Amino acid sequence: MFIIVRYYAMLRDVTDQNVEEMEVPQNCNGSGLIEAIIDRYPEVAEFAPYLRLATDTEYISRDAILTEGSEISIIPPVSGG
Amino acid sequence: MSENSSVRIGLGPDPIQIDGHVNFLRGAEGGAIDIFLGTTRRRTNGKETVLLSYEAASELAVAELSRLIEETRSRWPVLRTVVFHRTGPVSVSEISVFIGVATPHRSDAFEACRYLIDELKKRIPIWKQETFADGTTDWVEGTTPDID
Repeated sequence: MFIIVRYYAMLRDVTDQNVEEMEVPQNCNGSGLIEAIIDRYPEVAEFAPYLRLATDTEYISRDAILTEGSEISIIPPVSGG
Repeated sequence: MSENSSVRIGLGPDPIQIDGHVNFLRGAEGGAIDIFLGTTRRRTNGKETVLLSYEAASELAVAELSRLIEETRSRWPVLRTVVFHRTGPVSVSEISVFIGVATPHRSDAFEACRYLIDELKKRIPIWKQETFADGTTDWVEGTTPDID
């Protein structure tokens, strides 16, 4: 199935993408999506322990099961203020 | 921008309009307003910064700010709250963030305001990139939001 993935800040620089489709296995969870991203962009591995996943309106657990067509933001460590 | 009679939240590239926010915070029931302003600092770790550039996951940021403000209102008797954060470039000495709270008494205003800026820095999806005088840029090392 396909997930729509959004990248921000340093992750956008590393992947050179704002948004893209990523193919993952059925019933993939958040951790599986991060693994798929690392397969495509090995440089993301160094950020992996510090990443959060989110929908448009809330953070989600890495254990959350994703569904076809979900839009998931990959949130690197935040630095506002 | 998201606004009701007691909460005003905004993210955007326009300069912060302090007077308008202070007027929103003022009211007959309030006895104290505490305001925090974050500004762009020229020197960090010995390097000269010429500007900061902010990026936000806007929809998520506004939703998380709403939850953070509700949490703050459950802990202190906050009457009105304003949180505004700039996006895009913010030059040295300009204001990047405005946090304001109105409460009946000052100690609650200080504590609630401090809690809002401390938690904003920990969990709201906003990122800051420094541009240095020598033309190089760097994303500021950040904090991983604690969601568990």
